[in-house]
Amino acid sequence: MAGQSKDMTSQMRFVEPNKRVRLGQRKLIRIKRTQDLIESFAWATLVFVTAMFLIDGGVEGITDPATLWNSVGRLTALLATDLLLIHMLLIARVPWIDRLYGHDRATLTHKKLGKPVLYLVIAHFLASAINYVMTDGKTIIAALLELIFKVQDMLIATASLVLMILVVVTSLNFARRKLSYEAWYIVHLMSYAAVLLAVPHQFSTGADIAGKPLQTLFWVSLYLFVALNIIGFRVLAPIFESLYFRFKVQAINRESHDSTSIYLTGRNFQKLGVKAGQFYILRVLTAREWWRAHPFSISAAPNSSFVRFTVGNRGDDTALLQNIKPGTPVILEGPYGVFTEDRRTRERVTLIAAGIGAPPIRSLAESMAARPGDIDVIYRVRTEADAPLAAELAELCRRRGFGFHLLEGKRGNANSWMPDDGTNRPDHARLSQITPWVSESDVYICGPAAWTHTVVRSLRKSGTPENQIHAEEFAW
Amino acid sequence: MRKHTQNLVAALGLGVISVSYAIGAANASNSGLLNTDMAAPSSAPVATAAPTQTAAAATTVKKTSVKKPTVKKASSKKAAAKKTVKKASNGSSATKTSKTVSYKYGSVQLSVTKSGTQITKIKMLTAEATNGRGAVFPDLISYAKSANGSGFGNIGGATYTTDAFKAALDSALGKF
Repeated sequence: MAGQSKDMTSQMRFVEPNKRVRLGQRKLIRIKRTQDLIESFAWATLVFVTAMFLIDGGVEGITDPATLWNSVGRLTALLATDLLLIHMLLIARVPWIDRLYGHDRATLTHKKLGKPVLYLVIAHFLASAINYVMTDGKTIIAALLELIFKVQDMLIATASLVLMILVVVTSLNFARRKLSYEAWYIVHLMSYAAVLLAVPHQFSTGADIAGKPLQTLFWVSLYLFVALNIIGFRVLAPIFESLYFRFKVQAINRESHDSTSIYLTGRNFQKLGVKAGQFYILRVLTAREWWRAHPFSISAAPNSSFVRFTVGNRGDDTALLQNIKPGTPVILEGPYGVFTEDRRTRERVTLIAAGIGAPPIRSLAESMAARPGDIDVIYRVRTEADAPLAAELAELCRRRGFGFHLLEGKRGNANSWMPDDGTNRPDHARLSQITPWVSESDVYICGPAAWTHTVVRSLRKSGTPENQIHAEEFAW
Repeated sequence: MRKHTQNLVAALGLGVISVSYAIGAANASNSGLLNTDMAAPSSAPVATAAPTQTAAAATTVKKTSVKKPTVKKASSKKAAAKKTVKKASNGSSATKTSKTVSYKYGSVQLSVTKSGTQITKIKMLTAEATNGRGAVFPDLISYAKSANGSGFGNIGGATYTTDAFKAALDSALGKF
């Protein structure tokens, strides 16, 4: 068995690594500048709608409780709609956002915006309802029924509100734990319906769009911009790309007792445009699985003959992927993520992986531009015999002259990310011993979220600057 | 966002918001006629406000602070107009009912009481509007009385309601 695997490693073929890489802080500053520009623009839209509301006499028009509620209803509606569109754009997997922030940060911001948007929408509903009841002078029930059923477009707008509440409630942490990803996903898809159902009443009944050319122009273009981005990048691009590349499963290869590599072939792979460290969202086209998408990092550097994912078996759909049949067609959405050499600023690099976090580290180690000794790979596993891609990483490091440090065994205490070595020394001290120049290197970390946070903490303690720490959160 | 960009954006944002608040206040002080696309005012109290209206178009904050006294003037003139209305109401009065005007958000019908040539009372018989636009009817009534007819501007956010009100008012006035 041992002889056989040794034979396999000597046969391994790796791609030619990148010849050169641009280092230094300059490129980071350029990224930050563009980020600032985009964020300022997002804030500017909020300022714009507020300013137009004020110019229109939104506050001055308040003369009694009824007009106060009217103004509250209008302003909350304007802010909610604007934030809702930003919220949707953030999750549209738009390449220009992804390239700047990474899919994880965009998704986290999307999550953070969810509740505030809903609160604003509910505030808008309540304020408008109170205003309607006050001005109509009927009983509350009668007025509400009339508002919802008689007023133009208001019934579907109310349906939209109910849907939005449903979407946010199912996304709360306690609900996410109880719901399967797929159940949550289906509910979440309804948020598109919720947004669309709310559009008519904004234009027909709303006081801030109809008859106001500047505001009409603003809102129509904002809606169109978001809609085109979503349709283009989330719907059309994956379809066209899968027609162009024709991905299908070529072979599967068991890597450990609970992980499998899936090899994909297709055409035109020289045009793929994926970088080591990035991930695709994989959609297997079988009758049962086509609607369920899963994110996986490529586990071998980009090449012209195959795309490889290494998939851990976590008991859900990933269990089915362990036995996927060769020849099955798949759609890849992406590539996404900024866990790439583009973010590298220093000559020295430390790559740190744990368990099934190995794939992007493996592809980075294969393709990064480096001289022997420039890169250290730290791989944290339970047992060496059952670690996915361990043999490949070891062989890669041997051939390229990188340090390879396999950390095996149970961890010492709950706050440590390293195995117990009986000395009780803090992680950052041990890290500095393994890779003495860790504070002068770019550090790429991939592993489970809690583990990653512990690693980042000890990196900070060992003096590695924040913008040299690269970690991709699994934000799902 | 980097710290200094954050500060810059915050400062600019607050600046824009306060300036637009000032503009909103300036527009509103022109006897509550909020829309920028309003018709040229034709009646007495609105006409006195006309010179300040052009000033309101300027966007500086300074000018709005200058304008505050004129707000009081306008309202005192309104009060004066009301007084004259009361005096005139000693004469014989008649009441006419308008046709029902249907529009986008419902229908409007009103009755107008005139004393001589002066409108003294407008009563809403049907005052339908949606989403808070109903709040403008009291204002519309007071503008109509001040203007002694339908020659006053639109109310921002309630253009359709204003038009319906004016149509009803004209139909009632046509019956005198």
